[in-house]
Amino acid sequence: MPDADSERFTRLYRDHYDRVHAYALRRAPSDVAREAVDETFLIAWRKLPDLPPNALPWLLVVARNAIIGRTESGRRGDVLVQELQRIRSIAVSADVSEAVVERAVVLEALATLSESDRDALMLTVWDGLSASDAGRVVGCSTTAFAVRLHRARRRLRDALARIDAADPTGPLPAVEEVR
Amino acid sequence: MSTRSAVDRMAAQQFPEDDRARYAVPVDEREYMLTTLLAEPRPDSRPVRARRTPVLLAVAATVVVALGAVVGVRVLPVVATPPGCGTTQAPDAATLLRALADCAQAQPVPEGAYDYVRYRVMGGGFVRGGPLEGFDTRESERWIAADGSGSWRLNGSDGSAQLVPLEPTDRGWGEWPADLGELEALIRADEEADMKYVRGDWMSAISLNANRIATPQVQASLLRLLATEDGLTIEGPVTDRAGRPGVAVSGISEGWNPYVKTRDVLIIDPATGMTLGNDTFIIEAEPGALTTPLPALWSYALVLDTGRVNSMTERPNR
Repeated sequence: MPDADSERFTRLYRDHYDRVHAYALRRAPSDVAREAVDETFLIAWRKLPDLPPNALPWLLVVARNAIIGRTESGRRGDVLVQELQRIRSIAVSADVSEAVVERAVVLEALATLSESDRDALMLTVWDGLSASDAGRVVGCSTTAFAVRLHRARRRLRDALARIDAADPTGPLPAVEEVR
Repeated sequence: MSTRSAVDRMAAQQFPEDDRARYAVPVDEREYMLTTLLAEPRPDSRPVRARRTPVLLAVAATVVVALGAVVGVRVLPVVATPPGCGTTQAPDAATLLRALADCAQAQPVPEGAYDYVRYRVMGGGFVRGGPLEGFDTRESERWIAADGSGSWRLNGSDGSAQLVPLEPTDRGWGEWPADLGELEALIRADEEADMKYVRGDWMSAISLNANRIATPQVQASLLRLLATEDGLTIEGPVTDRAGRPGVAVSGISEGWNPYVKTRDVLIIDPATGMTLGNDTFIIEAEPGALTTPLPALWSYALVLDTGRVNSMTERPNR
């Protein structure tokens, strides 16, 4: 019969695996993401008594560090750039749909933001975290995160406006610029 | 184009889509991994928190002495305080907080169409194995009406300012309930967690009203609720970062960040029972997690001015 810890961990694992994995996939290649998620849950199992009831921010902090530990400087942005390149390769072909162009525009706008801005936006818009939880993941207060998020939103709006005004099928930004 | 529509456009382009992430690892592989993890030996099955408590209390006592020199929250000579407000005479933090609550309760109900607050926040961050870095200080002002509408002025370090309109439903602004039971239910529901894990957030929330409007009467209930928490310590009379006299209470937060434990200090105006600010210090880190010497200031919030005004162009008269 499983003990209380095993039951708690099983619930935690099944409840949060998808969100931790999605978080990792947005920031690292799939092989690195898998390893980071496995390490995250291994640490969670070993530190189970220390986990707070709202465990997702805790898990994402561990995943964040596991990814950083596995990726050399500059590689983290590659995932978004690779997706952008894939979409842009479709976008330059004939009969491209508006949906494909829109995806290319949005990803390109994101790729021009700083890592800090992009992370604030991704945590709230794609990972679905509240400002309070996202603040815990990046290690700042809710209020400080709200300020950071506001500025990131404004920069995203400006980047989208710039790209909207330009030729959306123009050349990709160099990878070095995507930091 | 508004920032809202930009965010909507981003939301529609989620990468990878949650479904794609969900099916990237087959269920049987996940379950196999789960079985493997459950078979992994654990260092100790006893709760770590219970074992560490005496150590943490000793660390905390040391930190209280060290903080004055390190970050400028310094103990002042005991001063005379207004009648009815608790300060250094209180035997414990709960008694002090209840006395401060009485003091807040006795303040007049504020009048005016907009709740005004000017505050400063500072914070840094770290990744595991690195130093605390990236410290950033920002000042802001907020004017909020009872329905949550209003404006938020972000003052840049270069002297620039940006005015952001606030919509009634934008971020769930609203008035806290003054009733203690309703307030407790709301806070616990908001945090989705045991209060002890989020003490730092909660203290920050009290100091900045958690994006909500807090009258002195609501502040009284917040302080009474905080008084029910165990593990709080009186720091004594202090001078805050703006040079104002205050009384401080602190507690240790653990659990919400896996690598560090923090000591959260809440500073209250002894004359009014209202909050002056809060500091968060990292007092303990997992070996190798942080290269910055500890204790170290992680963040602070400072409430510089509050009051009620009748328009979003006014500030309280002092």
